[in-house]
Amino acid sequence: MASAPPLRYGDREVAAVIGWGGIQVFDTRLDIIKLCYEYAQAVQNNSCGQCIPCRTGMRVLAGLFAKISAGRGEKKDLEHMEELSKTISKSSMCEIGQSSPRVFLYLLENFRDTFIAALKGETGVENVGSPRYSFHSMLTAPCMQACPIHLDIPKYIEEIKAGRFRESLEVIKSRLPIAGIVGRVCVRPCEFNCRRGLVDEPIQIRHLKRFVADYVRDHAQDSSDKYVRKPAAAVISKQHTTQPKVAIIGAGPSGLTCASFLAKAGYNVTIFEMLSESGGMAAVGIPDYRLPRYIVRGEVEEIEKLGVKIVYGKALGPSFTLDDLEAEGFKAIFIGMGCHCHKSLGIEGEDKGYYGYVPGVYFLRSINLGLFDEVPKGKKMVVVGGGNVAIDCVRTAFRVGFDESHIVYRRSRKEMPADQVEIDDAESEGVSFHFLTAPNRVIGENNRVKGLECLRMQLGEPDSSGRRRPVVVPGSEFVIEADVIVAAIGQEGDFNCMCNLPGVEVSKKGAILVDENLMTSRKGVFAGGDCVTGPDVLIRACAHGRRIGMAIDRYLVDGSLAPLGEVTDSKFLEQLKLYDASEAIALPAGTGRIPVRHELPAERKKDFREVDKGFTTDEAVAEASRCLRCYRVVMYACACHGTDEISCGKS
Amino acid sequence: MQAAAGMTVLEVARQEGLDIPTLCYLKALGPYGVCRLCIVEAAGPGLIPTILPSCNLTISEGLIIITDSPVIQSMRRTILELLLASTPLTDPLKVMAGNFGIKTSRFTSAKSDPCILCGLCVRVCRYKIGASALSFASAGNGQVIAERIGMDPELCIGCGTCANICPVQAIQLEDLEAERRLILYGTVVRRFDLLKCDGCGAPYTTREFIDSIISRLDHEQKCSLKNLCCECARQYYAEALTGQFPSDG
Repeated sequence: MASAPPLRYGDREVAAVIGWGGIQVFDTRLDIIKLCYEYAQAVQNNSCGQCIPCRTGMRVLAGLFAKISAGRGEKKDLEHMEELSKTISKSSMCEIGQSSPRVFLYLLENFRDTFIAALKGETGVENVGSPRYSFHSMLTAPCMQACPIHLDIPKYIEEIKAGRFRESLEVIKSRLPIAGIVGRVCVRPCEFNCRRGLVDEPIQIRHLKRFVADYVRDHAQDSSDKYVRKPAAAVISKQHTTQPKVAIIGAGPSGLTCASFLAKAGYNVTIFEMLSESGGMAAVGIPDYRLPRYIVRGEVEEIEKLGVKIVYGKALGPSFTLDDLEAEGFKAIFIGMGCHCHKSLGIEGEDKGYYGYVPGVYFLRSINLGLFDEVPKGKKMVVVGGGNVAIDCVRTAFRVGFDESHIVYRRSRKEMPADQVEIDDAESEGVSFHFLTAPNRVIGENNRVKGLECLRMQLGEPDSSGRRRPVVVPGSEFVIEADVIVAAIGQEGDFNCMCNLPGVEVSKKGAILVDENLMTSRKGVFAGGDCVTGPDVLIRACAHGRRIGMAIDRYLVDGSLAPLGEVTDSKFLEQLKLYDASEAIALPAGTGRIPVRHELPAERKKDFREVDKGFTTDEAVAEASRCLRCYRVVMYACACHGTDEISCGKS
Repeated sequence: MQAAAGMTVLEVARQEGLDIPTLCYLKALGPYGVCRLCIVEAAGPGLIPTILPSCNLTISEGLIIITDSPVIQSMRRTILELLLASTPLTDPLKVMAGNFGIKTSRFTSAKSDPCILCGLCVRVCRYKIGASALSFASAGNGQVIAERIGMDPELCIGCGTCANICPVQAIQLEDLEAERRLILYGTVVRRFDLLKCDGCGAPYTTREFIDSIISRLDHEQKCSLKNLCCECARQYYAEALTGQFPSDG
């Protein structure tokens, strides 16, 4: 039991951890029965209260542990505990009841002596010099842990199942203000960690999120609608309180999430946005057929209603400096300027200034801002790259009048980093894929792009990313004719801007360096999102925004720069394996996910109408009913040293 | 055994005369699966032998079900004893305990109201009435489970369906002259003024209930709506159908 190196919670050594699948005790002085009591109590507190075995059984079980722990136990109590643990784990409705009591069965079988000793009143707590312990429980689930912002996914799905759509959206909004945006474009790490996928297919978590966001938006004013009957809780406007001013640079996903968090906490928040549109990459990097603009604007308006001020056309550097902001009385600054500069292909002809050669991010941005004059015209487009931006460009081509659209990627389809669903959609719209093909030279004529010379590749040994490295096939040059070539192999930060931030350290790769609170080397200046991580997914930027919101709040309230409890929780949980792809689940398969209706490829590819149509009410409720609610209750115990009981994590 | 596709194990069992106990199942509301008394042993092609509730288990080719075994009996018994530990002995429980030969529960509990938390009231209010006034109390995470049904008085329309459907009278409806009271666990949670019937003048229903009905009607239906109690309405329409209109009008 005590052989493995102790787990750590932040900088503390953990005395024991107990969870859905077992127990690890590192400090043998700890009273196991007390730990069981605390755990049973925590499980009961997290029970949804619907099914009898979990709701009542766990409470009775906790009572029995308390009784034994107090030295009043009887022999028959052990039998009852065994019977209860077995019944609860086999007959409960969801995984809280099913998974949690298994550890009790294990202990009752393998550590029976400890329990029998306790019956006689010989508990281990009286050990001389034994410290006192604090217990801290956490509720998680494989999907929740995989989600960068740790949304309570089973909870909001349960609310959909119960037809309480507004309540469902509120669960999401308590952490993420832009549910409609994320519900459309998230790469959904949750779905790849969904245990329902081990039975048949994962839950359509992203589409369910979008469903509630859309439903509540469309029916918010309809008091007779039975799904949103309960009026929304009035937004408490704290604008008039004397909380300090906070500046946010960039109205992208991270900036908006942070602004929403801080505004709700009563701060006076101003966002400075370089462009004429808010939403950041969500607005200018993602085409309207995936994320319509009215959705972005609607959610930004909701955030503005909280009292957030957005100033457009102001960029850090040309328009103002960090010193200016501080002089204006901003007590904390969050830099969330994203990663809008493109990476060049590094091939011949790229820098000749040919008409028809354009980086992917600029191509998408021009279209999204309605600057069609800046989009090069032609009949045939070739896109270089294999990520989501490349797929967005190649699908957009048809929508702005190109007849042919090609994508060139140097590895095979399997290695393509773009979302599989996006790749399939692109294929059904008639995009031509050229796998194992690398660009070699941009061919120009009369100062216009004429074609792209390419090389055939083959896959060699795996590289550091685990993907097989493509190797050039000598002498395999061939030309794909093109009027427009789009380079979409990645983005990087704006060096010009970043390197002119006094006191803010920047890495060689062009990312702002931050500590674990996401604060830069300049005090009171935080940074998050793509300008810290490099180009990454939207939900991770939102997670940064939320964390920075919490960090700024604490920094301004008491100047604390200690790690946030929630971040430490999440790091602790990462040490435990919450999702096991080889697990065999004893449930009948065959209730697959409900497909989302979408516009037909031949019709949709001519314009920017939204491709996915979303769920109907019945579809959403049916899909929500597939959720297994794989909640896991985890508890750890820590020895309290001296007088620091308050900092023991028992919050 | 053969049965129509789409049926549940519980439906098939009842059709075949096999007894599976339930508390939360009601045909009109469909399966819910919270009482867990209808559990059965299940196995079959691609299914690891397990225990599942029969009310929401759809039948499939080759599915093997054991509705009654020592394991199942013992678990149902434990669940029933948990219920008996937490509620006074009311009718449905008394009958069921008798069937299982349970005299006293092995467990103890402090709960004193008769509610068995079958959730019929919650579901009928939400799915059939559309008021969503009832919910499982503090079904939120991290809160102490109250083991009670909670009501939002603002959303209640005073229709009384919950009181009618409750198998243990934990929710009651009381009409005292012109006032209707909704009583949950012995406490009055909402009072309504009753409207008077245009026919006989007797108080008959709540304004909120009528409003809720009106909101579901089209214009023509709305126009033909009369403020009549059941008895007067019956008389009115009987006379309307036979060509004789109410004589008092």
